[in-house]
Amino acid sequence: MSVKYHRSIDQFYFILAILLIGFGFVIQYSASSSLAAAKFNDPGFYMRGHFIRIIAGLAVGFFFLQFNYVQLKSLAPLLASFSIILLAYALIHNNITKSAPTARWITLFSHQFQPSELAKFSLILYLASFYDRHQDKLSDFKKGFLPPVLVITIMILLIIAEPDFSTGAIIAALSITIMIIGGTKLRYLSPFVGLLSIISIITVINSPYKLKRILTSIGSSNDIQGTGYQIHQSLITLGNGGFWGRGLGGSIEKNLFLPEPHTDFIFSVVGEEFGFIGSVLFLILFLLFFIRGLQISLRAPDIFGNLLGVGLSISLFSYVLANVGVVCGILPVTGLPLPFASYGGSAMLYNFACIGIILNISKNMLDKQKPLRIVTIHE
Amino acid sequence: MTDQLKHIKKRTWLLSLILILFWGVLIGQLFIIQIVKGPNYQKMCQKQANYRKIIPPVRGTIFDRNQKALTVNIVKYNIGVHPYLIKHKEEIAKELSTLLQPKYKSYLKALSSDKTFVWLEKNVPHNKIQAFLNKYQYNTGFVVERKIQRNYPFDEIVGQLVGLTDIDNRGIVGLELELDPYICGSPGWQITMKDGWGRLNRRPNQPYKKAINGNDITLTIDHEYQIILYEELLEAYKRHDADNALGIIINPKSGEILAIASIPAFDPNNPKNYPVATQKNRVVTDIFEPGSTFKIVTATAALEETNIQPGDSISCKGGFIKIGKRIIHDHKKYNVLSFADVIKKSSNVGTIKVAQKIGKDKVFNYARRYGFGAKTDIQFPGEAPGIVHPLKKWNDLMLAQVAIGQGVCCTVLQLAYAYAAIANGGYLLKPQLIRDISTKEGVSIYQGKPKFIRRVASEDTMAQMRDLLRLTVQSGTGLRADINGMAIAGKTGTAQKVTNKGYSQTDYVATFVGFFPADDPKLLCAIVVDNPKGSNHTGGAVSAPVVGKVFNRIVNLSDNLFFHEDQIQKPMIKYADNSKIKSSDIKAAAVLSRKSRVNLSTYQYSRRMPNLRGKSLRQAVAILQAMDMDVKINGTGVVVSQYPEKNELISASTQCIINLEPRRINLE
Repeated sequence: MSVKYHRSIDQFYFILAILLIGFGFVIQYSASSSLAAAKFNDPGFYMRGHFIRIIAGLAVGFFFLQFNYVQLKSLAPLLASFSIILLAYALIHNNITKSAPTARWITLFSHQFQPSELAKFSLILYLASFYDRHQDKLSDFKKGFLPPVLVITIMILLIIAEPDFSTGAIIAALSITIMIIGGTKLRYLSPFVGLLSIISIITVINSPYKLKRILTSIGSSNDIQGTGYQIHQSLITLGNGGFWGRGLGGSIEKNLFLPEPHTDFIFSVVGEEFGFIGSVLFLILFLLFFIRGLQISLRAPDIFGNLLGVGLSISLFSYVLANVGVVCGILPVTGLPLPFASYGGSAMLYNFACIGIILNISKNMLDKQKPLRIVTIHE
Repeated sequence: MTDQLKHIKKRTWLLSLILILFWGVLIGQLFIIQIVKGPNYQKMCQKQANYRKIIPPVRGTIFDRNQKALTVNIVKYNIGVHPYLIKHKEEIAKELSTLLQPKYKSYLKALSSDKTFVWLEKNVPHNKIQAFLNKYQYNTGFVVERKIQRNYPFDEIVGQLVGLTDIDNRGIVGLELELDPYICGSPGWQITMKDGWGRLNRRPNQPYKKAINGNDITLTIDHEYQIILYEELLEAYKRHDADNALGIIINPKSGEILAIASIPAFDPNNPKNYPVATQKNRVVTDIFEPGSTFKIVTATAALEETNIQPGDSISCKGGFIKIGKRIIHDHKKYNVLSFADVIKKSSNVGTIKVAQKIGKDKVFNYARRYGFGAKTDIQFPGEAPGIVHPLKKWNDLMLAQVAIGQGVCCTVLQLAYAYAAIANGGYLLKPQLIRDISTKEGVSIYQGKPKFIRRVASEDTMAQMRDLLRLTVQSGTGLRADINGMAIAGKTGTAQKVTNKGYSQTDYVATFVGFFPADDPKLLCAIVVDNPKGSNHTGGAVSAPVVGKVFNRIVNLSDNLFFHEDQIQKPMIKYADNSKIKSSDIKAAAVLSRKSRVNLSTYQYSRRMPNLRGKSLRQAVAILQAMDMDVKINGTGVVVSQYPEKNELISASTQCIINLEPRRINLE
């Protein structure tokens, strides 16, 4: 059996990634400097942290280029189990109290990590490998449908228990998307989706602040003090940019008017400093990055590669959409970061892992002219 | 291509299309926020982040006539801190306690506060702030605010005259109040940026407006005369255990006030330590019965309107006179006195007899001519007009009482200017307190000029009056005011104080008004001691010596006395011969008359319209009022156009129209 390799990585995707990382770094410094100066008397505080995270991310991305991505397949069940254990550990280890109401973190080597990022990664990996291996058993409810549903449900329940609804919701949507693309029978999937919807409605009704946020985003609540205030400031920040923006470093609202300028609302600063033109260009970069990621993935030599690449690409892009949707005030306020720009280590590592794996796929992708397909045979 | 891959591709692109559609929605939403609603949000942003910092103007200084500053602006600093920005709180608190005040604990408490901002120290003087700034000016977290405070180096001596300002540096008492529109200036502003925690940070090229500093005032007051007057009054006040002691020194030819004081005084630097009543300048605000000093009214009327001569005999037999049911006594029984002696010895009976001879109308007329019963229009707040009852209320008793200074009330100021008319040959003058108002750049916008109100009596009559008053000091009741070698003229007065039960037999007001040299008076001093204790309570015993001492001390400052000579003479000549003042004699907008009186209408005086553009409504009206012009006001804010235009000649009847528009702040 002859396998044709693209010996080099996809250059276009690589350049897009470099642009996003570079731009993310610049905007992180610009957006966080005032906050860092006010909080730590050191404008470069977050910038340096971000830089270190980029270095760590590069190591992770480089790591995922070192071997053929197919080898990850065998790792999938192990990693999925490991991340479930970590999620459970975080829950047990962090006592949820009034003063510390979340258990989203675990501490490792005096650094905090979000196990949900790892769970997201391992879930996509697991689903890709599962549908790669079970393409012929998809009609079998017990063997072709139930296992992934069980894994997904356990993970999402653990994440919701943290509590981290938005991550839970986005992982659920992502899983369902991969299931559909992987070829799950809709007759099995539909009731499962219905069940998930009921669960989410119940969670929303049970937590008033969640409901309030949704109402705020719809515009039927004038909560100027709480989340409404955040949205209001975000819109002012965006609007202040106008068409051409106020130039790099020219943001006024980042001077402690805009909440969370370095994380959740960093895109507002992009809009203020680079204007409509800049934010659209930034979003076009993300769109190209997404589409190129899909193209690479769909030219992978195996279904595992297809699904893994597509899943990772969609996960990155859906984070972009969710974050910008919040910033624009059309989605309820969630804590979802903007890939490559927001401050945060776990997400950064995840983003670099995505780049690494997709570039890895691109090394192995088939030529357009020779749509030869590798069929790996599992024994 | 396998079927599986085909399906995967189809499903992938289908689901991705949903995401891409949502991406398009986001672009549309960004368009609405950034382009369509952008200007709205930009306004909101400016509202949040722009801070209009007010730059306080420097308040004008008040000088005496020799450019001695009666007020001083002291710059003080307030130091505040954003505690969350301060590291090493303990060391900094320690350092602050050595730099500022030894208050280590309170500094540490302030630095450890969880508020976003606290004041560390207020009113830090200039010398201490420098050390602080050297150390901390680049340390974020500290905020230094500059404040201008008013200080009065002459404290009690000119307290009531100069007055004081409130914490906003606006005048509330005395000249600070009266002249506030001229000396307050108008604040400027600077747009600065603030951050979400309210901290300010400077950015270049922000719009600003410079503060317009207040004008400097030069008074007619001479601080050395003022000190003399103050000290002598204080001494008399203490010696006689009086309720009040009031005094004024004026130049009787120009109407300039050289010193004015009332005891007990107050220190405008520490107004809280003194009763509020001491803030009044009683010379201007309080009225009293003038008693015998009022006899000049009857005497002047007699000499001017009748053929009574100083040598004519008047019977004062019995030492009393009965009018209706009331008996009025002399303080000593006289038999027959010459008219001159009546004044010299201050005989009540003789004066009343003369008054009866002259008649009510004329006595009333001369009281009014001397300015009694009407405000002098001094540029000072709270002036009392005094009381002269209308003629129709006058009966025989009233005539007799008024002749000897009862039943009428006046201020010390009025009394002084009535005597000034005698001293200067018959001209009632307007009290003048302000010599010059100039901008900080030195451009004079107002120059005080002697202002003549009316002729009281003829030159000859007044010369005779001066002789009578000289006699009074030489050999009459005012003996104790006399100084060897100086021809002082004057008149005493000892009024019984009015109580609920009529005239008091124990409480008196002792008065003396004197001027010198008698033949060509240069200075006039009026002293009133209210309720002196002890057996000797007369004006001659209590107040006359004060005038004597004041004049004596002033003479010893000899070089100062003739300092005034030059400007005294010139304007008086103009009034005396009724010559026309040519318009070229007067600077544009320099001559400001207060009330156009009949006497003045013969003068062909001309004025020029000042430039009001850019002035606030308050400033513009203050200027036009000072020029006694009718004004029609359109709109509010600052003057944008005026009629007549600046420097146009205007007459007294010109109506001025000013158009105002609200101040606009240009944020571009």
